[in-house]
Amino acid sequence: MSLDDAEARLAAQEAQLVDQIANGNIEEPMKQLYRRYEKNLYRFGLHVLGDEGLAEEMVQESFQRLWRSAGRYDAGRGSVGAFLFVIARSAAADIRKRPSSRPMLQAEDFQWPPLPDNVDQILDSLILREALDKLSSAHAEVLRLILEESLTQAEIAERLGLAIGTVKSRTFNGMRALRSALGERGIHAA
Amino acid sequence: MPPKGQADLAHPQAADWVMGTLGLDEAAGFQLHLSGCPHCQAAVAEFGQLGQMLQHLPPAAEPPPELEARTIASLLAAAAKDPTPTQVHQIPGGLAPAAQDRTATEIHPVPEAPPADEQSGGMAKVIRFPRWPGRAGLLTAAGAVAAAIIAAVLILPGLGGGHPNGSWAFTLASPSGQAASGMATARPDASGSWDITLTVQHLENFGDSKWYECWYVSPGQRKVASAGTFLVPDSGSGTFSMTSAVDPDEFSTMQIRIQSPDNNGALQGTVVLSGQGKKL
Repeated sequence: MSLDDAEARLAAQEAQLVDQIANGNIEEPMKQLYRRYEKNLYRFGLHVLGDEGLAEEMVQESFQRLWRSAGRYDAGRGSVGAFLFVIARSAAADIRKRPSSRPMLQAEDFQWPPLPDNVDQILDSLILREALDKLSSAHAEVLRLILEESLTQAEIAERLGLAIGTVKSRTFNGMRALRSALGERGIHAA
Repeated sequence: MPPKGQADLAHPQAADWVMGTLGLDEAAGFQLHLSGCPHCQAAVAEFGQLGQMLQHLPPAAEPPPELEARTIASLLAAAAKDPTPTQVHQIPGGLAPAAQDRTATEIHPVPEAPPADEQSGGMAKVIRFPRWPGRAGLLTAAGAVAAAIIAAVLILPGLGGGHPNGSWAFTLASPSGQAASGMATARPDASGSWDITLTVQHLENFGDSKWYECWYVSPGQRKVASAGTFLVPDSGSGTFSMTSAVDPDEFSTMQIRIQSPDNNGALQGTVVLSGQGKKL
């Protein structure tokens, strides 16, 4: 089975689950959808809300809204995943509007992280996150030090005891592996 | 367009450039270098867009395991109360329900019109106490007084060191036999605080004139502490996340009381829900 076939089959299954929810069979279909999307929804919530509690609230609110809008879902317009992340983005935007969501200690200077302009950006970044998690340990280690600790190539070379050329090669080859993984999902990044 | 295959010959700072890790001075210096180096130009051309994407990745975090149960429980509670809730409205220029169609509808929960002061899309407001010590969070006027009570009556245990205790659950019922009900769980987090998730049903919406406050109460009310305040939407139901430094082990009872400006910060309001704690 090709990747496209597998995705089409998954999309059809998920559309059936939403249809069941719309017809009042809520618990089991919702559990299945929750388990498929919980991690990515939570990560998205944490990314745009910057707080674990708010991210959890966004996840809960997203599934509440999914239930309320299940009858309006049209599989011809797109996947359940895209539909759910449109909802999640809207829920996150609403949570950000509440004064009570803003950190007290930085009330005057506080800036929210940027909210993605469209759901494609959200889905692409989540796919990239998954691809990063599947990289070989040598590539992942270098990229993790760049992304999580903002280390330069020279600093990574010193930290890991590697030649700087090796660090550069691992960085570039890791990025090539990521781009390849994205390409398999139809996402093309230069 | 730089020739393909030259990226591997690029200066290592080309990788720093595309990943955004160069300092300002280094970046300015590299920019000068870039204009004359075909290898680095090739690297930037090959990896620039991906580097931008990587800089805006969501964190590799995992949701708490109990979030599924909370999400499904709150959903079933809402569905039991309101079996036909769908409501749709058009949004100008917003996101479509699907990636392929950016002109259609977006769904919001009922009630459609958000409160004027919050614009929260019909969601209940949550006012949270900051974690102790030093966690950012909003402290409202009501919360400030209640926080003072916490500080006055408690010696905060185990700050920053985590809790040896497990989670607690409180099943909440109306002392006067009303339909209102609720459930709360308190679980310790790594910072030494307690994350409280409170789900309530069938409470009255008082607008902004009154609010609900979640209290920990010890036997004989010798010690009390507020975990946070909240408002409910017209549905009377909601799930609220609060954070508290209070260890539930020191209290036997949780109470939800109606608070107003007249009794702000004091344990005086009418008890609408109450329940004993059970260690999980």
